[in-house]
Amino acid sequence: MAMMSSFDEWQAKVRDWLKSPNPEQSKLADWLAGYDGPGIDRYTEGFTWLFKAVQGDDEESVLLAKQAAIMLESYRLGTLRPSARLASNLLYLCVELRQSRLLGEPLAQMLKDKTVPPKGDPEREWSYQGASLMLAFRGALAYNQADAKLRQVWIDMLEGKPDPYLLGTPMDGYEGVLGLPGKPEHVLVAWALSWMARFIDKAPDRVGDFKRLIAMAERRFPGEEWDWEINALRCAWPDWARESLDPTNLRLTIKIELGSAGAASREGNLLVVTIPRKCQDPDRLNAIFTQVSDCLSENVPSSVCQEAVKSIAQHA
Amino acid sequence: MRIFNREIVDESEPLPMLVNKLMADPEAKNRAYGCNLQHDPRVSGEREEHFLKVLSPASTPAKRLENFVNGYVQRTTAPDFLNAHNGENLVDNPPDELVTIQNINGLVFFMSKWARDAGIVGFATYSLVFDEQKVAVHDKMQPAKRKAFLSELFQWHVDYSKAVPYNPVWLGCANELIPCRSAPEVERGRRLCERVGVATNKKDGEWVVTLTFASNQLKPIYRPTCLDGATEYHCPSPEGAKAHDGGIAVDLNASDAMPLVAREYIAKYPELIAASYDADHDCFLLDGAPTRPLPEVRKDHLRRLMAIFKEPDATAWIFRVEKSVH
Repeated sequence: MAMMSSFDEWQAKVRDWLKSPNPEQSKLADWLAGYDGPGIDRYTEGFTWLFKAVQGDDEESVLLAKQAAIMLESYRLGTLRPSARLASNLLYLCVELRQSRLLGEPLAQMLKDKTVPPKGDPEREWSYQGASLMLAFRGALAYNQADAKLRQVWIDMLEGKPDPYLLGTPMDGYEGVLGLPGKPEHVLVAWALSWMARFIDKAPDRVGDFKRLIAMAERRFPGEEWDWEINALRCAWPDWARESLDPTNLRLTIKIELGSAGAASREGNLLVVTIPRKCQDPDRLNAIFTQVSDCLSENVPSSVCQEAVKSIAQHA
Repeated sequence: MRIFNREIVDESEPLPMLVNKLMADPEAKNRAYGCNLQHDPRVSGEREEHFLKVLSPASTPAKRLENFVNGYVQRTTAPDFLNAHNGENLVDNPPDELVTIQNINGLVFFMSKWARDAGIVGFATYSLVFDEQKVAVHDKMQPAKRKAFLSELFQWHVDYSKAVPYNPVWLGCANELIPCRSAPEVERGRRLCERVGVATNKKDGEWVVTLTFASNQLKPIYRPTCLDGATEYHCPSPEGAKAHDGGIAVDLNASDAMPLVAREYIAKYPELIAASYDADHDCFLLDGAPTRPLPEVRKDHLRRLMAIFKEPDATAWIFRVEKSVH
């Protein structure tokens, strides 16, 4: 019989604890604070090991989320005064578990009560290993949304307008948008990507990073049919981001005389349109024209719209 | 009973009590800590005194040890091993070059969070979800991107390590790791780690890189003691071994009869940007295979020590350790 590894032994201990009639919260606190782990290395945080112990097992994930919810509540009520390490690990465990049904409410209450110390709090420990607890809290909220109450908060973060308490970067906004409950709103996700593209415009590997952001959305909603090309046009992704979808796409630069009233040209008075390879299919081509027209009509007079669509049709 | 390889009479003193509790623990790793505290011949009386003085109260002996290592060795700009009371472990004449194995995913895990908070754009798109980060690192470690990625990562690490100190770096000799480089490709990263006492169980899909430093970039360099890591995969080198030779790393997979043992040293965490490495040949993907059970690993290690150290003092020491393990 194969002997158990140190992880297997530790995992068995976690499972026994989870399935015990009254799992002691102090045990969870120890694991999250970095004590009594599987003894594999000294740098992996407790929440990572705990998550690995239940990963792929729905029943155990739910049991662990129930225990995490109890601890969140103790944190909020002040009966638990966690060290920064424990608080950070508890919140990141929520990120990994993604159990909005169990964790959404306690996290929302914590937001209401401002339980987590704000960045720079002079009286409480507000960071662990160089990162604020607020970052971990934003993550826990983003990945455990039971409703869409924070929708606008995420959009604001994407647009570079941090929440006064939560703060937040565009990437927090992006993870928040992906974490909204229910079926994904394609246009919202594409808008979020449009903001992200602007945010990472100066990053050394912006194309790689952008492709990864798209892949994140695809993994978040497996089986979802995305029409990135159309949404890229609709949401005015920058050229390099649109081209990252498929480098063989045909890029057209069309000169359109935009009127002065409300004109919002993309590059001066040039409209740059990337036509996906798939546009050889007449139905798709029509769909693209409609989307471009919709997009333009937000900013320019309808006569210009018609002209643009006509120009695209000629080029295509 | 012995504490730090010195006979003690009064077992009701705090340290013997702590060690006794560890030795009676059902978990092998806690017994290993206890065994090391009993037999490590590298902790001076002054260091022991200091250790006892700063040892915080906690509910279990293992937690007390953890707290010491976290507070006085790892997460401080002035790690305890640099103090004069550890002078006997200072290595005057270290090998010219020393190698450390750096886990890239571990580095990105902490740095990416710091970077997002600090608004550093190049690192601000890593997800907070562990598996998403793994995908990202794997993408960055593809041959076409790897060199630029590592260079940028190590550059930012300079700032990160100022904000978040972490010690020590554990080092080995490049030539003593060579046999692991001829292992089948899929096992190579794991074998390198195992060779120097680093378990990689459940780390499949993570990347490591071997970084080489000239020893004068790392000085002062020390031989490690059991107070410098609180890891069950460390075992002190026997009584009589010379500081120059460093410690002897516990090979976690010694069954494949490696011809050499690997020495180990520690130093304050260096600037990674100062390291030399070949992005094409020094990076390895881990397979995450399980580590052998700890008691087996430690027993094998003692057998290997027995084959190397023939002096009577060393042999007697190994027997004592073996006896206390059982």
